[in-house]
Amino acid sequence: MSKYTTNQLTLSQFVIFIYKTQIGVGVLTLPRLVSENANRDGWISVILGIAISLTVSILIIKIMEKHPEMTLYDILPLYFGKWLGRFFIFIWIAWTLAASTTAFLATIFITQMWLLPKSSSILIGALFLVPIYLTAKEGVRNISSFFQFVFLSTIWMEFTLLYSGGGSQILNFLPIGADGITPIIKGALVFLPSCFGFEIALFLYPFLKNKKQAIKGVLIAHALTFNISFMLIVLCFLKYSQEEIQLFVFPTLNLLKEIQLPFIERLEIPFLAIYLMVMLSTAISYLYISLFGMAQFTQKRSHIPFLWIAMVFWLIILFSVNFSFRHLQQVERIWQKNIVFIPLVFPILLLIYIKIHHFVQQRRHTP
Amino acid sequence: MMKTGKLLLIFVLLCTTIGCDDIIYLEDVEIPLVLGLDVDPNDPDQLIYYSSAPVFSKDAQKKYTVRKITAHSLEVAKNKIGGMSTGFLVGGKLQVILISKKLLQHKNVFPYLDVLYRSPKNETKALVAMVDGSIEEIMNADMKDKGILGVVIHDIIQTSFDQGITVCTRLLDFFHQMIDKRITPNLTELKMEDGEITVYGTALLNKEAKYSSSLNILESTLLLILRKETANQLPLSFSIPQDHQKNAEINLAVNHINYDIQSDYRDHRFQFTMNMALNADISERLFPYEIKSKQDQLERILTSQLDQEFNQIIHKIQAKQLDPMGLGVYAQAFQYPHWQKVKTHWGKELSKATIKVKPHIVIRDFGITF
Repeated sequence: MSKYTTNQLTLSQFVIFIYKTQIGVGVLTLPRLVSENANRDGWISVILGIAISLTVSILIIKIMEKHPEMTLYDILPLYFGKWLGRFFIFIWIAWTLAASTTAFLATIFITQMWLLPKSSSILIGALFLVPIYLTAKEGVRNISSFFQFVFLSTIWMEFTLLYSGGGSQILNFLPIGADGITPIIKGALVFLPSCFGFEIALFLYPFLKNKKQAIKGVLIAHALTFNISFMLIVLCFLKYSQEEIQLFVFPTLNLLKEIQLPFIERLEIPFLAIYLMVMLSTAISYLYISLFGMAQFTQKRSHIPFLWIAMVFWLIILFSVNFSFRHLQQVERIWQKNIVFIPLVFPILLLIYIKIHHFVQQRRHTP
Repeated sequence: MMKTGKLLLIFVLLCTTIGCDDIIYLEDVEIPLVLGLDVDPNDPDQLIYYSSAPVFSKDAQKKYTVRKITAHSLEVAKNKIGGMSTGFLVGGKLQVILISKKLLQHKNVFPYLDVLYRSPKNETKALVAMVDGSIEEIMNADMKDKGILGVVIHDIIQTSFDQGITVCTRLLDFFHQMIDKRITPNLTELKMEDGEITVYGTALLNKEAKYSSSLNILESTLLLILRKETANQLPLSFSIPQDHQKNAEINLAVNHINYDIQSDYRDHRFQFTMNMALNADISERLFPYEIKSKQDQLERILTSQLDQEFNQIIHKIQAKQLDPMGLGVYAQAFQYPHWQKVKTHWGKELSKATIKVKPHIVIRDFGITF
């Protein structure tokens, strides 16, 4: 029996775990990033980006099917031997920790900017660490239950966005594809980091109760992500001209500013306060995967000691770095250019390597 | 023990971190509802800022306070006002921004509004209006029988827009109109008449946010029709030449308009043809007319009059090299290669274009008496 059977996930938990990792801070800046690169054709970029992401996800499931009781952390030493395997595990721990740290810091930055400009980032960060600790110390199943709760309590937000639709201009989408195909591809590449989170399947697969539903689960998660990204892009492009979107730091929040309800002004404030749960979900999810890897790396049973280390590490960052917008931009740039390759290219290379490996072994066994 | 510790921690957090450091007590803030910008006659570099905020104190005689500050920028003005008010200034409830015509004639005001767009705490749904006259007069207008100034002006503009006699430009929309190359900005125009704040029509600005021309109430309705802002019933007024009748007036309420807008590029010019079918009700008729038998004839007469009026307003707009209708949207969408070349000076290009407006009035209903 596998060591993961005590902590099994149902299909909906599996889907929501991936979905909540995908959707996070990126949603707030997404329309601008896509617009900067693809202009009017941003919506095509989203379709293209989601297609790429979905393909890679299905490849991931194909890899995992070969070893249904193992996470990526178990597979790597199997194929690459002890040292190279450990090196790759280290890369994945670093990547998930970096992703989690970025999500955490960006959440603090946005909270400070929009909600609590006078409060110190350390105080906000310390407050955020409470729910992070309470969820991340649990196992996969409890974390995903928490995500289910977040999902259900934030599902109304999508529909609220539709209220901003007044005074929209459908001609903003024309002409289609006038600037050629290159901007669209660029836009898709920029959109891809918003799909990141699909690589979580590399670690969640062995926890899934019914392995046959894995591809279905990935499909549903991508459908949810596509739904929200596409809707946002379309709403923003309908409402604003391209020049305008590129001037807004967080176009999604500007979209919310448009909503005029008789009983509440500045809807973006309560909206953002509740959206904090979604943004922190991304941080929690990546953090857990990272801690899980650290525990395996050092062959410890519990990941909670590492959780304390990570939390202290974050507090040290908050104490030492005076977080500013420039940092956010730098991270944005790194995200777009360099790190794209870990979740995207690694699974593809791994699959090719595994195929060759099996092929070579078969040749060896059948002379 | 563990449980007590947790409860204690929760209790401490709840007590110490309410609102973190961003607590605002309503007694300690001043919340301006109106912001006014005017030129300083003594120093061309400075502006005069007016603000009007409600007073919550029971002892105060007047319901709101008006402040006047001379400063280089809004942020400086805000700090100066802070020095004389009873509390911090909070921009989150701003309802109306008034800009004087003189200021719009002399300066690009858009940079002066920057702070309102920059801080997320500010309300960007405030309405922007141009005042023909002095701001001071409006700020000190007699509001004894009306209420709080900011709410009154806001409601006046909103109602006028709902009745279809002026545009409704929020701060957000003004930003859009300034940044988007396909449209030129336009604001509601207010005037003080006999001590009453009155909507006068629409002020058209150019891309440098400088005052260029005005449309009266009737023309503003036509502008709304050209801009497809037809969510509300729009009033149209005609006077028809009749033999024995002096005031042969007829008023229509336009309910629904079907548009067919076509664009083309020929002979180095943009060509726009706007066909529109207006579904209208007769709301008032001041002369006898055999509506039962001669409805077609009436529709023809009204259509040709409307056609003339549209031509006049288009001519007026083109002469000033403006595009408050947003025809640039069609130019970009359908004539993209040509649009790319002219997008930096679209107003000038549009003044050379051929714009044909072809209205067609269909009377749907003439009320419950013939």
